[in-house]
Amino acid sequence: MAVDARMQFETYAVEPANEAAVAAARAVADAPGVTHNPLLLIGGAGVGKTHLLQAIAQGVERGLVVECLTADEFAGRWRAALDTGATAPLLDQWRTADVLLVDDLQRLSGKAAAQDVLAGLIAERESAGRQVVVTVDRPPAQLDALDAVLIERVTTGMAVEIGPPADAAPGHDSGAPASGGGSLDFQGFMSDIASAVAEHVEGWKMRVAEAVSSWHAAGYRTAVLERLMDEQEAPSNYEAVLRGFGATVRRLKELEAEAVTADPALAGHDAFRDPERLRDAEAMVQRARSGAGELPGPSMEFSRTGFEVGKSNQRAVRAADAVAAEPGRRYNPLLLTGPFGVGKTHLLNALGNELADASGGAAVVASVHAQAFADEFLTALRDGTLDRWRQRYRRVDALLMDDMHVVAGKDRTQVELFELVSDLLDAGKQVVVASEHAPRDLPGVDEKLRAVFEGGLAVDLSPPDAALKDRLYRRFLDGVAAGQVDALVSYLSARPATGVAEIIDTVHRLTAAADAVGNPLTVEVAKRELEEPELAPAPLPTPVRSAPAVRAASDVFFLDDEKVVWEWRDVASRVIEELR
Amino acid sequence: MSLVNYATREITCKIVYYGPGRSGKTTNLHYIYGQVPDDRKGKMVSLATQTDRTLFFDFLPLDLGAISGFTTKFQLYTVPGQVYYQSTRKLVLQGADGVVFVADSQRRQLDENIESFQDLHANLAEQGVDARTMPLVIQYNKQDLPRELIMSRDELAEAINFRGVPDYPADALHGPGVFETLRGISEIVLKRLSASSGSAR
Repeated sequence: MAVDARMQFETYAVEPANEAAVAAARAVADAPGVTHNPLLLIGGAGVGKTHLLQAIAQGVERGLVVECLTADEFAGRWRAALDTGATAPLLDQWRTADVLLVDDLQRLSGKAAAQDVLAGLIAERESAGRQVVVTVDRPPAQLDALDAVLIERVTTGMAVEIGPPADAAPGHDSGAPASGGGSLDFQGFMSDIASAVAEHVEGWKMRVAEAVSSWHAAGYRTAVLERLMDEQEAPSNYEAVLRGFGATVRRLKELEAEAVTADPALAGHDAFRDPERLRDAEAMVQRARSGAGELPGPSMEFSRTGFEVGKSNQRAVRAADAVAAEPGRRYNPLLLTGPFGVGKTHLLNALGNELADASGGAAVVASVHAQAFADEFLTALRDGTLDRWRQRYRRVDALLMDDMHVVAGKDRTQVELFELVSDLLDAGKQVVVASEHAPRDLPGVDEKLRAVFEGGLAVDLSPPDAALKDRLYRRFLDGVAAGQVDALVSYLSARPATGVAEIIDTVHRLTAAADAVGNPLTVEVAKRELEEPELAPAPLPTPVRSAPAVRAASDVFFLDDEKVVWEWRDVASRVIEELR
Repeated sequence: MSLVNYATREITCKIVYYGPGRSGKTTNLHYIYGQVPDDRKGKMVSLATQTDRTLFFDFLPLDLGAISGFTTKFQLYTVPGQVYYQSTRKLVLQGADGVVFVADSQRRQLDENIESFQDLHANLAEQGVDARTMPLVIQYNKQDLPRELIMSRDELAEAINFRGVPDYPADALHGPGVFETLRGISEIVLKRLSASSGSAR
């Protein structure tokens, strides 16, 4: 279809019957393939569909390839290609054009082959982000002669109806309102008003407002265009700004697609909805591509100075200190083993913090629980983001993994862990693992993984000895009367304890027992609680009065029953009230 | 009030008929109401006392339909002219896009005209509106009365129209000058479309 230079947006008379279609067409011309794809323009003969189609053809960015065809031409060219056996180049031409415009879709009635081709093309182009615009003279539901697949394809995007002009001949807007009768006075008034409006309404603002409305509806921030509206005079470059906005939106859409491939969690991120944050969006994609997503670091709760050293853990501490001094060179990998509660997690994270601090924050130190590692791996496997996930862990300077024993029996996770640890060791990066048992003592651990850890240093942390327990109890019994501490510590240190966790638990338990009886914590209280819990006195009961004490009803200030009860007749009623 | 909204393609003009009591403001609206076809006008709201004195205000919405793609609506208001309805006058004046000052041409009403005109300026100033920037036209109503009772257009212009705004002699009861006045104020208001549309999106 030859494009008529006169049929442009600027020469299209906009009015309520067609403004939605014009706005959609403008949006398509500004950013083909980004919104409203495919766009279906529906309207009877003479309402301006072809004009709008040609306006799109001439409104798109210069350099884009536009195929603008009537449905008859589409069918004719396809038939000719079939006759000459040259369908492939034609299909290729229609597939790769930046914009495909087809006028009068209803004229494909009875042309099954052409309908099939167009339906396929629309589906392909839509998934490739290439724009299709189709016009038709009636609503899709009334297109009985067209294939259902084609109708479904053309209606997957946006369908807009163009109604006949309300106040002028079809397809023509005189700009003058219909007087609708009335006196000569009123008709003259209407005529004057029409002239004044036509003279003073600013076309460029209409254009920008349309774009604001359209992009806003598509979910994009339009502050940059809204600022344009604040200009008193038409900015000389407003068309360029609009085109630039459309191009930026197109770029944001590409970036979002790319980012989502690397990290699905980035879908719908604000940066992809704001053309003024294009650089942020690009940086985000760059980070996602390089696998530089956030890795969990060591917990700041655990410090090296807060770790009490005794005979039971001194080998492990020395090894950790050596690693902190020369990461990647000594004891790599370092394996901390020991039962629950002996301080493996504390030492692991304290070491991580030492490594991070020593590098001034430059070193990437990841501290991950083995279960979280396994879960992340499965998620990446399921989402198809395994490469990115692998890359993410391979950029660390030190990998700390707690409770490594939980990977026993998880074959695929062990393979991943083996490969990761091997790569990190090859690259001279530090690996530290905590586990309740050494890999050689763990059933269900792969030989290769076992071997890689046996190549490093395994140090055991044992339950604390009496001296360490003494120091730990003194530390945690902070607040107990000075005269009682020595006796208490002496008594408690002589009792068995599996680790720090149990010591802390014991202190909490004794403190609570002393509070319950309202006495200070003494050896007697401790003995009674730890050795004869059945003899420990019951906690003090809540004071109970036999009769309900309710203020006199004559006290008009307290009108609400709930507010006048100051004591409770029994514990049960109070509990019920508390829980209500 | 937004005069023009490019986003919704609407033009809305609020025009207030101002003037002393019994100068013919409501009569202007009644005449316009009678001339406008039914499909273009809303229900005229008129709150008047038993003696036909406007108690609060009159309101006549005119829907002029689509003009150059814009849904165009005019809202015509009158204020109560009596001195003691000052607060209502202020309220009605808020957000006005243009003012028609309806003066009573009767010679004995000259002081009331001047007082009301000053009252208009004072109320605009109180609302932070520079009266010089507010679209304004003056109508000299009741020009149909006997010559000996009224002042001529020139005399009235000399006494009231010191700013030299467009002015129109009128007989609101029978129609002459009513639409000329409305057209006059509308043209001035619409000229401000481009100037006022910046924040109206």
